[in-house]
Amino acid sequence: MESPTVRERVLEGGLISIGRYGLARTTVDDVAQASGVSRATIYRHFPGGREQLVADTVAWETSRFFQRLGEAVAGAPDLCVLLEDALAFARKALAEHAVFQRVVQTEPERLLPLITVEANRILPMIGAFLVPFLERERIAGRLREGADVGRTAEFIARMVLSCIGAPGVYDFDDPADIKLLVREQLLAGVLVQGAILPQHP
Amino acid sequence: MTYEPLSATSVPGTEGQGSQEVTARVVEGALRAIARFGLTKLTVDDVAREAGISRATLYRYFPGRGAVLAAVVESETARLQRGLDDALADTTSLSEALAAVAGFGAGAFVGHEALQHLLATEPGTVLPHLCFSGADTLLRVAAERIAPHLCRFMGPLEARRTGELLARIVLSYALAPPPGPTEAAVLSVVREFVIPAASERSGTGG
Repeated sequence: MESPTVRERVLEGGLISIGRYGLARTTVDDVAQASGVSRATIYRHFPGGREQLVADTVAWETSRFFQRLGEAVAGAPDLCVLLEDALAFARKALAEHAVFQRVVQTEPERLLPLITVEANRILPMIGAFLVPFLERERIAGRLREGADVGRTAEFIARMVLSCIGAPGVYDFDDPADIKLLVREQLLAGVLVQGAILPQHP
Repeated sequence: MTYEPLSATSVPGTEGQGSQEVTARVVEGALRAIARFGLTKLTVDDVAREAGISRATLYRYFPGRGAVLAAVVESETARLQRGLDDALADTTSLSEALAAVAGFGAGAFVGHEALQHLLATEPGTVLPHLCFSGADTLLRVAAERIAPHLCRFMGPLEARRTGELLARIVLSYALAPPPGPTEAAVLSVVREFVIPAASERSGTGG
């Protein structure tokens, strides 16, 4: 990465252009104009041209989304609260993400294949984020006996990603519903019962 | 895999069996054609050829491509429901039922040649039905279909939520496959993270 700031400026321009023109119609010229970076410089950083620029912009914004999510919930006192905060924050952030909302409604056939590829990269990231929380639960004696931290982290990461995309039968605007999902379904098989409902030992 | 061409007597007027036979052939032919050619470039001619019937016969029962695909969706939905019912028919405990749902769901996904071909070559045609709002619909429908089978062992609300969790696990592994076999991964996750807790809650033990 010789000049990350140029690359980031281009990707920011890519995001603006996708928001304006969509995934199919965004051109390198649009991105050059939106970012103030010349076509030649853009091609130097993105030799694959338009297609690479669009795919890399989706990857970059997906990473940023999960970085913001991680920062927002990192202070959670335990695993239950972590997941509850994460689902509430992510759902709201996704609803308020104007570019995502526009593209997922108008060009799902173009966006979703790109996002599905990203899921394979994001899952290990979420898993790695969860590991220290799981270790803390284990030290506190709240993890189920024999639970493997790595396998558990992968399972929870998959469920978190699934729930962020599709709340299914749950209403994520209702904290009680999120609590029900996290404590009675997602983590019921991960934590010992006393850890899930400490108020009812 | 090969079929005799339909006899000339299987035409409208002879409703009922003839119509059902043509529909079944067209649906099977369409699934084979999708698994070979994909969806975007699929034509009614491809379907007729795979089904072993004439274009004219196909058009007598289906006004066009859209009608063929609607019949495929309807038929596949019914087939999945029968498969789920069959997979659960002999289960006598909650843990057996949960494993049966997960095993059936993963197998149905992974073993579906037309779907797998589309995911590999034209993901844009199917992912809208499997992600975000499409996933919401899919999870709700799956939960509603699975729940009645679990009501033998738990309350209706709990059954619906547990059914949804199973569907969620299957969908996650189907869209982001693990390094090894998907079915085995789904089953082991369900055994590890779903069955023990659900059994404790329903008071049926392990």
